[in-house]
Amino acid sequence: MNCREYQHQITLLFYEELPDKAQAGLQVHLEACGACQSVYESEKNMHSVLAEDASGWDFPSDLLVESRRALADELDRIEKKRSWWRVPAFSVVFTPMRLLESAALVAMGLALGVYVSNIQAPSNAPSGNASNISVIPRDGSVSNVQVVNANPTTGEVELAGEVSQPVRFQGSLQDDTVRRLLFGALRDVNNPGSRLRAVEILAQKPTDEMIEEALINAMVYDDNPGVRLRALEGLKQYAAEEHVRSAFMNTLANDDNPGIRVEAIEALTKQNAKDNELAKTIEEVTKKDDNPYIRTKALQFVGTSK
Amino acid sequence: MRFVAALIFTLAAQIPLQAKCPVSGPVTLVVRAPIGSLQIDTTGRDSIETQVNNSIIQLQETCGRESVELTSNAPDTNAVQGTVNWRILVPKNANLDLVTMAGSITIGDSDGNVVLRTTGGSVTAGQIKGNAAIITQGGSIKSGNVGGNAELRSQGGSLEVGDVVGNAEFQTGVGPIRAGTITGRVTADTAGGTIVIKEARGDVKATTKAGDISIGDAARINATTAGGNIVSRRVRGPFQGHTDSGDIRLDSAAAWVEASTGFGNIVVRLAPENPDGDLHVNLQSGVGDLTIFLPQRMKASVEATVERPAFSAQHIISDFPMNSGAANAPRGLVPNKFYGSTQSKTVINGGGNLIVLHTSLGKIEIKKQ
Repeated sequence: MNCREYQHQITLLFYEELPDKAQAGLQVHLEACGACQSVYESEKNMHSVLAEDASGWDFPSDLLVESRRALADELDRIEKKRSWWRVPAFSVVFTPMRLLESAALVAMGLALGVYVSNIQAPSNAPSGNASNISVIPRDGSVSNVQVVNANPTTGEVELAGEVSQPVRFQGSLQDDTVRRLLFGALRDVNNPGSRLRAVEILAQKPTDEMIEEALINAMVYDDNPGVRLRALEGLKQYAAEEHVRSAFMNTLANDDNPGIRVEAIEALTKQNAKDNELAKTIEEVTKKDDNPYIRTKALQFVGTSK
Repeated sequence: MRFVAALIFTLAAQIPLQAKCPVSGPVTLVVRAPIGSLQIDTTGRDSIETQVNNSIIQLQETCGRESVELTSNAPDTNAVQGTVNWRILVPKNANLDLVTMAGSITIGDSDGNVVLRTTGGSVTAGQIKGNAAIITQGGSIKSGNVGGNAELRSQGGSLEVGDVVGNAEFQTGVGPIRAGTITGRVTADTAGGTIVIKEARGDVKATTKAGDISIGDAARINATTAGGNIVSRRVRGPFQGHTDSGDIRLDSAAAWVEASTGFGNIVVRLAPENPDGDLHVNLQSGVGDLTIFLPQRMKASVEATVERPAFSAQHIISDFPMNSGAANAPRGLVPNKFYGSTQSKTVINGGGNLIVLHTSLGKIEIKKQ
């Protein structure tokens, strides 16, 4: 290897792209060659300077995309410069592959760029698709990236995906955004803990109709008994209201957890003490309940509500 | 005539039925109530007195030297009008073995052992000096301090107890679990609800299908939640914790730690009591940051991996010098470090305890303390 090749390796070394084997060879050469040692020191200094200021840099979010595209173009250009006799043999297979490869590279680059991006969007972002990704926030991530369109001629691609980023929001329960976030947490099927916490907070002030509906939904449909119980506890005081009462009756008839059914019948009988019609319905609903306390409670309610 | 009969019946129904058994020395009260709530007043002195407020109950009592048994006929529940309450006055040092087939149970402070069971209804107890076994098939349980072992079970309802001098076992089909200081070991299990244990001098095993787990101090912790945070101020032995979604925080861990979260951050501060003991650490997060504080003199071999590092962020930050590089050989059409994971390794004080830190997306911080 000559010095030019070793100096090329120095660049790769600083980008952690140089294989371990080659690193050993380079090390030996640097110890022997003053010129290459000088290049090494120079590059090292440059990297140190860049690293010091790197945190303050604003990278354009389309930089990686553009780099990928330039790389693909350059590969194409090299391909075209190859001997004429190689072209027919490979053109059928290789040209579409190259186009596909270009599109894939651009797509992957774009996806990766935005997915792992800590990059601030430039104020004068280029037009077209690149301007769309400029709205992705610094700490956002993109998932489910799909290629909607790819133009092999121009190298333009259209991508679709979902952006998510960490948020922290403070406000009262009257605030629409707070409510929407809490309702969103209630629908998080993957995190029962988050649903439980959301219900606990909403249950503190179930006066609002929307909150009441959300709690009823949680009480009737949530998979987790803890969430259902907490929602029920929040609604207890409104068990005399018709739609809440209906939801409690549903729970009494259908919930598979005896503890929740006990709470439901306690609330119904307490809040509707003199409702004889309700008592009969409760008696009917609980006739086959396997919990003796619930059956007894229902019968006692029939007796006392007359 | 019919009016008079009805009047007599009504009056009879309102006159409480009474029974009284004289006792001397330690005695066990056994109650088998086919229906009704039990209210136990523990301020009695030399007798056990019983009142039932409903004439449908025909009280039967057996007064013995060592035990007093109370039961009644089993009335047709359809015929029961109004509530049925058993009010029983007992000496404080009596052992209690109470069962009601339908109703709540309330007892005052007791110096004896208590077994309280109901097929449905809440249970409330004062301070108990002996062992306590409290079981309901639906309803909450609330108890003061327990001087012996405590077993609290509900098929659905919250469990709350003060300090327990012996071992504790808590299980509920739904609802939160809250306990004070437990001298022995603890098992806490809920299908949905938070678990809060102020302190446990023995081992703790806590499991919830939804909600946070908070254990102030324990000899050893094994905690699992399907969604929620796990936090502990201090664990004096090994820690194992997993949450499907949530943070894990250990302010002081004296022995080995294995913690994982699907989505969330993990913070562990190692404070070994025995530097020569097993101090291996394995922290895994699907999406989230990992932070570990290691004592300067600890012998450790650290392997930190960020599976998909952020493009321009520093993803492994360490107070100890690290040897960083790509974990795997370059792959794909165009080899590029951005597609591979980032791994850093280091050996501290000659190496030893394996510290494995792995996150798929996030950053890792290794700090000296």
